[in-house]
Amino acid sequence: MLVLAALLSAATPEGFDLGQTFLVALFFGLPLAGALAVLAYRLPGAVVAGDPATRLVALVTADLPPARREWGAAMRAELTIIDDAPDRRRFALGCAVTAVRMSVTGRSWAVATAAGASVAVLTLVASRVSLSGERGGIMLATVYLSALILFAAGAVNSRPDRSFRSGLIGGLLAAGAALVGMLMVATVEAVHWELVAGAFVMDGDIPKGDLGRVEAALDPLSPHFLLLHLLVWVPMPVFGALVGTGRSVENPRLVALRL
Amino acid sequence: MKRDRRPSPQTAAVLMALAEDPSAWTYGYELCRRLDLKAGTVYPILIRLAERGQVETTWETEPEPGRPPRHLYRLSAKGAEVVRSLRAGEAAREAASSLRTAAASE
Repeated sequence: MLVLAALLSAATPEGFDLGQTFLVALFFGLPLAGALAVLAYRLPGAVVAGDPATRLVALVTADLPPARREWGAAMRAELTIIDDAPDRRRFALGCAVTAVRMSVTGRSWAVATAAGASVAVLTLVASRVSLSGERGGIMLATVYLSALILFAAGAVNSRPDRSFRSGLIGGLLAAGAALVGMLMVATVEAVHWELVAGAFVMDGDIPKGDLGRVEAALDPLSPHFLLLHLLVWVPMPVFGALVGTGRSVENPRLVALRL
Repeated sequence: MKRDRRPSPQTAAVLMALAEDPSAWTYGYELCRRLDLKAGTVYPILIRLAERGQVETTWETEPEPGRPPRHLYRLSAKGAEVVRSLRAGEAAREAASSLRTAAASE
């Protein structure tokens, strides 16, 4: 995280600054660390001892909705009788695919579609408001306001059956849809900004030379912008799923490991 | 109106495999090996069949020492009905196919 922060800091007009690097690392690192801590608590399968197949099955069957817990226990039991390592791997992968498919429901798709559409509209509004105002670009809105939408997506997905896993997977699906929605609108708007203001849509910077349409349209796809979005977005479904789950009736570690 | 959907070939294969000995309890992994299907295919089918009441499930009462009890599956009466209609459909298709072959050769 410090290396990443140093790179981000070095990319600013003022150049590398140790204090700024530390603040950037703290700003992005804290939510990520928090999200990892939540994941370690809610999905304890990753810390179960055993071969990779045992760990994978434990991970994908941890914190399942109540209606699917029996299935999870059955999968963990079934793995114990498979001795051949390639067979164990294949079985574990099959379980992982099934577990993800179980968690992606009609509601997950509906929430993801709504999140993608909301972020697309937000991007368009931010672009037009910024273009008619200070022309500071759309990045603040697409990074931070969209993050709130993803938080809500995680919470909405986990709420009905109080399943952290449903919230997490649904929230990540929503993050994917949001990224698609944001990029689709941002690339079109980038060309509009180039025509009207000759500036980049993401941060409103005006290039020294002429800005071509292709260069303008590709601006939202720049790795550092994408990375910035992902750094802020990814922890949000995790926190949303945690809030949506509410107070867990049972300790997820015990539920996950119980047979 | 509820549509009467024909099960997928994989679902039909699982039902047929369970119908070979309807009273016997079978392990899910055993079905995977017998049908040469992946766990990611067989288990969702078993879950769906159990939810539809076409398959009964239970846990091993006397697991091997040091191992957790495994889940067992067997065909229910409702599942046996589905298998009967699958077999009837298959027989009808075969009959129609041989009639067509006979007509073409005349």
